[in-house]
Amino acid sequence: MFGRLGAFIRELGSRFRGHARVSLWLPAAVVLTFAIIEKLDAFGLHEAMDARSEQATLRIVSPYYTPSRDVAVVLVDDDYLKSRGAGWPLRFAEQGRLLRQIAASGPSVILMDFVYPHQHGSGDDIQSLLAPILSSSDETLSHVPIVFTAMAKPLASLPQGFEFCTEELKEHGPPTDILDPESLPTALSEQMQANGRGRFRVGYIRWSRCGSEYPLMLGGDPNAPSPVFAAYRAFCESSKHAARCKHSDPWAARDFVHPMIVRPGAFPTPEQRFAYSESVCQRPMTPQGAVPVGDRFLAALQQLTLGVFGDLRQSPSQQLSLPCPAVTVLPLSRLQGASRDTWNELLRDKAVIVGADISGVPDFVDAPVHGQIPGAVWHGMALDNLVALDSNYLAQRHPAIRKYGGYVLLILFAYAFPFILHFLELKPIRMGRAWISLTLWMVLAVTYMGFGDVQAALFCLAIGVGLDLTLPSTSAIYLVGIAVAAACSAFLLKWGVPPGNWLGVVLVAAAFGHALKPYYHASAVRQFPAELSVLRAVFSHKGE
Amino acid sequence: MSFVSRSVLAVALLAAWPAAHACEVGSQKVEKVLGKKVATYNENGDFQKEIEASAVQVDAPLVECRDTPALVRVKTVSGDPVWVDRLDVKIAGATKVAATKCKSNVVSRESDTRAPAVSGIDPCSG
Repeated sequence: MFGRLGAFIRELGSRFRGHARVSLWLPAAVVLTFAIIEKLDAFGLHEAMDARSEQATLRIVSPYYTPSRDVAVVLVDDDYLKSRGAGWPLRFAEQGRLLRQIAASGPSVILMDFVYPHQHGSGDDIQSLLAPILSSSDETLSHVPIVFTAMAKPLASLPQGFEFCTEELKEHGPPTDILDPESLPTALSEQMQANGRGRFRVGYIRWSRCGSEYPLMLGGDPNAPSPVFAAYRAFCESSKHAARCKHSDPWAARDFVHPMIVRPGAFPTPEQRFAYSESVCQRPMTPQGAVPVGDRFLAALQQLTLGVFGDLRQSPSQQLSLPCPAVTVLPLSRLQGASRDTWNELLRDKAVIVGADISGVPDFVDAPVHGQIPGAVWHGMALDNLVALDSNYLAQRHPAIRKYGGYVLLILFAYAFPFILHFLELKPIRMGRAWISLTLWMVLAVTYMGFGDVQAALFCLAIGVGLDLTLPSTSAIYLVGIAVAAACSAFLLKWGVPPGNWLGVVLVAAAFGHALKPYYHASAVRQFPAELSVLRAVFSHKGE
Repeated sequence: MSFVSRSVLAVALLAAWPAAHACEVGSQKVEKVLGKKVATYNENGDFQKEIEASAVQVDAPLVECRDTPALVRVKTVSGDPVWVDRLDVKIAGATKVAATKCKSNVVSRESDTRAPAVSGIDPCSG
């Protein structure tokens, strides 16, 4: 039995060697080395690469995200406090008046991104926050659900093994009490219903170990929604929007158990013009909400090609740095002077998040595209993702594929690579690669020049010339590899599958190439300028 | 600068403070009440009660106004003036207020921005 198996492997090895010109064991050895390196995750490089790949993909596909335009974020800002001569935190009475003003505009739901763990000064009671809403018999006001935020207990105070971000729905067993009671005043908790429905609701914040993901149910418990999920449930109950949530019921919870990867958008809503001019924000969508296909493709291509060599968030061009999120942000300093009609126009039937963007208040989140954004804006983006994409929001839904898919891909790649190498090393293909390489670098240089970045343009030119004189046919493979991997990743993302570590895949491919090449062909000594250098060919031809 | 001139300057500045925060009623009138119910407040902006929109006198001059908080004092049918939110009433004859400028600083910041603590703000209550 073992003898026949051994003979079969020897025969297979001999045939493989005959076609691929390397031993059957060489790719296996390389796969094993990479698997060990990946498992060890030295210096957290694998994790860092994963995060960078995700960030790059989200940036590249951001032009393909279409915001719902049903979410608005109202921010209490420094200018508002200055103009009102008010301090921070705002008096409860002032917050109550603001809450009433917003509710009077008829939004679908209001999410208050404030927590109240501390008592205010004398005479400023939490009742002053609720009185303008609770004492109202106005139908418009009394029908608006309000989600308050409360803090979850720290992980150390929760039962052993509890995870905020889990992929399993907690349907059975006793519920875990995650509420930090000090963060929710009694006056507020008395207004809440045990089933999470009703006019006043709660969403939990202060989760940890979720990375950049946004959990919808903490610990997989449908009774412990995050603020955005609590707001989404209320949004789906509104008469105006109930029909759009029929596809998957947020109360059934099964379709919403996976933590969300928040997709950013490259095009702000047209309503954004109310507060931010085009000199500070990138170009928004048209008033009809459309973005031409060509504009989307061009923006994605810019992000891909120009993002290879640097952080585009630092670009002086707003079209590249994308500083404004694709959710309507309304600073209160701007909104306060507007008429009731404008308030209605901006907030009616919307999901409204009320938060703060105040100097010294550390409520900022690092978003992959826009940089640091106020926490309320991040909530807004997450809610917009839910409203726009429903249960098809971006999430890691296939743990088995995630765990073993990389290894399968690595093995397939290792054994296919000698044949790919054989094709790439054909003389005409190598010539073509050399031309493509130099052309790509020149195109990149011209593109950078077009965006006014002379330094980067010269940098690309220098790299292009340098590589053409030394390794003329190499960079085409890398650049095309990056483009293909990014495009595949982007297509997967379109179907709700999150981007894998495609940057890592490209680097592994490069390492494979360098590891296998010496075995593949013996000539290791290189000429200078290289035999296939385009510049050498051009100049030697001229000299003749 | 002598003690007297310094004192005069200080008094002038103190006198200018309420003037700077004053809100000119002028010939402004309540043109319309927006909504069916109107919230009434005290002069500090604390909620008092809700009244019917019909209880507010329309076409009557404003009694008083405040910028901070943004309230106007209007006459009711019963004759008692009450403070209401400016957004809840449409006012005729208001002096044209210069429109607030668009924000010149964007809502996001670069990823490595370091923000210092700011005195006077309770960082625990955000």
